[in-house]
Amino acid sequence: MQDPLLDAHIRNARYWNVDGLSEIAIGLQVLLVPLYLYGVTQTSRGSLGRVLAVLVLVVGLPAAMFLSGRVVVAIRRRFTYPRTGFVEYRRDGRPPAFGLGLALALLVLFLVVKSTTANWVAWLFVFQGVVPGALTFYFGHLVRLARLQVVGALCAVFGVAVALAGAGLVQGMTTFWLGFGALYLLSGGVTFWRYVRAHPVPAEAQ
Amino acid sequence: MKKAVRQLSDVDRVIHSPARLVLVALLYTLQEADFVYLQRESQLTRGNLSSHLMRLEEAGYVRIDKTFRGKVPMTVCSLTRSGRQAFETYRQTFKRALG
Repeated sequence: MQDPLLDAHIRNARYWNVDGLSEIAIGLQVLLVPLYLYGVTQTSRGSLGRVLAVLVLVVGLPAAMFLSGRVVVAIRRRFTYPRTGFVEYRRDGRPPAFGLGLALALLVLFLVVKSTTANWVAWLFVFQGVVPGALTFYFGHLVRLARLQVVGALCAVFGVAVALAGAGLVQGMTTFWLGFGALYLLSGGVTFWRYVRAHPVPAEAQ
Repeated sequence: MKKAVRQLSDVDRVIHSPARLVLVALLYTLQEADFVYLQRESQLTRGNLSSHLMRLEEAGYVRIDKTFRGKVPMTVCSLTRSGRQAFETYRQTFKRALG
């Protein structure tokens, strides 16, 4: 028999992703990175465009990360909760030890690769694609959401493809994060559209 | 017979019912959830869900707040401190007995 607590965690995590809004939020945040990179490459030092590009990364991205959770919940109050139910998730306030440990391990691994391999830029793209791709794939497997497995696999393939294409650092980064963001945005957008169509607002909630 | 296995006979009957176990486990991982969500995830009928929630409320394990979202009535449920403790005890009893 499956542990009812594990089953409950899986159900809640699946519900968090039922409408695709989380993927849309991730996609929009990620797209700020290629926007910054494109802005930096297209503007000269000290120009207004360069300042705006830097602001996108220094102010826009942290603000988007900070606000995205609240915005997603606000949209859910409007669209998701009247259709399939209201949920307030529990926050335990502890730092995500697994996430921090993994990030640290990957950083050390990458520094080792960078210091021992000549073509470290290609490995950077592989890392960028495979690590979030594998995590997304595993999460999709855990919560039984096939679309997240597809997104994870495509993300990993895309990272490897950018590496094999032999792109330079900035060009490769711009291409990769543009593709990454677009992939999440597309997956989330299609999911949200299908969700809204499949779950009309009940008459009593209108 | 192991003592841990014997303790299974003293398990909390309020939580032990499969439907209520699902509800308590769901609420254990959440701050609160409304009736619509619990019905969707537990696959219970409205009547069944109501009666199980009432049983849990009577035992002091669940708090039920009837509020309004706009003009729409909303029943929001959350696990009380004693409900949380009861579920933890229930899980530990089974873990000890079944390894």
